[in-house]
Amino acid sequence: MSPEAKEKILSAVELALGFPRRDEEILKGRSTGEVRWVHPWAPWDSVEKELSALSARFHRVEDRGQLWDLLGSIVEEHGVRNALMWDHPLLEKLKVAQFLDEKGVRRVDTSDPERFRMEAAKADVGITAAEALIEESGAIVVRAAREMPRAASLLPPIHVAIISSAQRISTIWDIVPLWRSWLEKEGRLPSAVHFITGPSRTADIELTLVLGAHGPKVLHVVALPEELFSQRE
Amino acid sequence: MRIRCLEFSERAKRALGDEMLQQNLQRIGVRFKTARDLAFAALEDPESLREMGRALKEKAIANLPLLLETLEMRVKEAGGTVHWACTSKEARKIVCEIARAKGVRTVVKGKSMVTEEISLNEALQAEGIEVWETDLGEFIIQLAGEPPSHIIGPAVHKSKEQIADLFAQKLGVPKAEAPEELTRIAREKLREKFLNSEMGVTGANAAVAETGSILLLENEGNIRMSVTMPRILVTVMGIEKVIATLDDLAVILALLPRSATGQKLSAYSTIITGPRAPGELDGPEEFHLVLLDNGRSRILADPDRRQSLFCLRCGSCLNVCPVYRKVGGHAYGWVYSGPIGAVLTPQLIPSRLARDLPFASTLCGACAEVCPVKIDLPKLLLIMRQRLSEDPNFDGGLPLLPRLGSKAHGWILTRPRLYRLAAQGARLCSKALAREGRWKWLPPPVGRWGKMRDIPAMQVPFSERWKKLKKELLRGAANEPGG
Repeated sequence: MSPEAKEKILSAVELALGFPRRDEEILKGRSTGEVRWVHPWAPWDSVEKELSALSARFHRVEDRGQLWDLLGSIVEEHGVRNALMWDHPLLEKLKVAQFLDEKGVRRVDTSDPERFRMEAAKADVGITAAEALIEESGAIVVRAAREMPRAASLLPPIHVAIISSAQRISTIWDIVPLWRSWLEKEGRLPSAVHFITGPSRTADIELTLVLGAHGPKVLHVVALPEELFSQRE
Repeated sequence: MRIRCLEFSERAKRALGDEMLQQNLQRIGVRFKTARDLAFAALEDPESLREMGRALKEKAIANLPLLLETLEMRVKEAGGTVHWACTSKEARKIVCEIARAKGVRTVVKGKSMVTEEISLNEALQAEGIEVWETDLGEFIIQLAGEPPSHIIGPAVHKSKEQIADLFAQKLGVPKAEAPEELTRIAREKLREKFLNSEMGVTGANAAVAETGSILLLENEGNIRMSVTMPRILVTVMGIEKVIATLDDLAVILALLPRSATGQKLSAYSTIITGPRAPGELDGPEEFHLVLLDNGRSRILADPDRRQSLFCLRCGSCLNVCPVYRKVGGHAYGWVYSGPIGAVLTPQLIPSRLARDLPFASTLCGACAEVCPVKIDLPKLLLIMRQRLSEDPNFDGGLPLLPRLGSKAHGWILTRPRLYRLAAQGARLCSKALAREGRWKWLPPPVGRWGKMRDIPAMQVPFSERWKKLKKELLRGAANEPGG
């Protein structure tokens, strides 16, 4: 608002601290360089354990056929009629759109930004592609971008997040190089980055755990072999 | 929020008599403390993580002007707007003006202590704007017209039966007592608000100067809703919440959920950088960041008290505090409760209005042991006591009698013979007045002091018992076979 408020606050702070030296070094990051991905063939035990403790459902599939079967069972189990799906190269390669069409699941129309919110609210399932999975906590990392609306991992009661086995990191510390790689490429962080650790939950009533407070009640994390994405078709 | 800190002793007494509250306080304390302890025990080197937390806050506070200016620059680069507010009043005015200019009718809010601090809801409501607290606990206490009683679990003092009655009465729904059912009712009610509100308001767990990002941690998804659905996002944060880099952000992510709820990560950790980028389908079109001072720069000026500003608001000091666990959050009479509340409140509001709070502690030190950024809370409590007692400029000054009393006490303590005499006198009094090992009654002027506690009867001091004990021990040692 007023430029005076800024002046007042900054000068009060400077005075209080005894006019500190301005050391720009402190704004430089420590962790730079390559992201340390976990080997794609490494065992999934810890991920499985973490996700099941979170009441999330973890699946590993070997090929597109198995993925379609899995998606088919999800559609059936939850009676899915509308899907909000990201327009993402990974999902395209897996022909998820084709699967939904064949199953008769309507895809939420994302062509009209004005109506997007209300359209998205009708979806029974959101299908996204995660940027990373953290082994230590079972968290998946998703980001916002064009064609990758935030609502897909938030509004529908079911969220299906798909990830390649080559996108695992072991702990939270390994996320920093990934952030920095985005900074380098895009000059800034994505407008939104979400760490999603299990389905939405609350314990606000008598400390009783209830799933599906405001976000999805069910979270499916689906891991696919890396080769599926690297090979050309 | 109305300040009621001077009612501490009455409110504490009421809390102690409230059986339901006592039960719930006990449960939340044990639950959160156990979860926190397990999470830290599972770490390879929990101490060094706390050290890192401490170090990053020390660095941030020592370089605050640079970090704040960089943060402003980066937020602007990302397409956001930054506002500065010296006082609560200025902050309220800023948010209300944004709302007014954009024709906002409904606001959805994420849980935030700082917006309670500045009484934002009341100000928005005075503008005729509907304000919805969307965290389930906050939603419950908003319906009940009560302030939060715990940083992490604002409605822990309510039973499900009470909540069921409240929902039936205020929302006109059939009475249902299962937490699942109550949660579903709130979900449906608030879903409609999320989709139709024009403005979301949140606090921030941290803001990163390097990138101009804010961090929001939660489990329910209501904060994600508030920062995703409405067209305008307003985030209010204290100036002390800024951190330097993404590396520091990773430390906060490792430290804060473990301290608050014992989770490795909250269900949702959201990092917002500016409004939605061109071409994106959702996320706010406008992002406003309000940087609030409201007394914080004054706290900075004292190198001893500066660390009060390191607080991450995890609530772990509440969960271990023997006083908080008996009297609950409402007794503290304002936004911040527990040990950190007892330290912060008299520094953020006129201290004479909160003068009892720093004394409401046993100085047991449990808070300092769990604090993720190693704030020396017992020391701060003592500093605040001292300031409130001695410094007449600090709205304080102890009444005459206690002041003379402590002078006399100090005088006697420096004279051993006099001290022994006084102690003997006191023991005689104790013999006359104590029953079953407790003083039943204390003579004035110390009577009031004994009213709130059990004073144990005085024992024969060790120095006198030692003479006899020594003989017995020597005899025992001589009889021991083989020595």
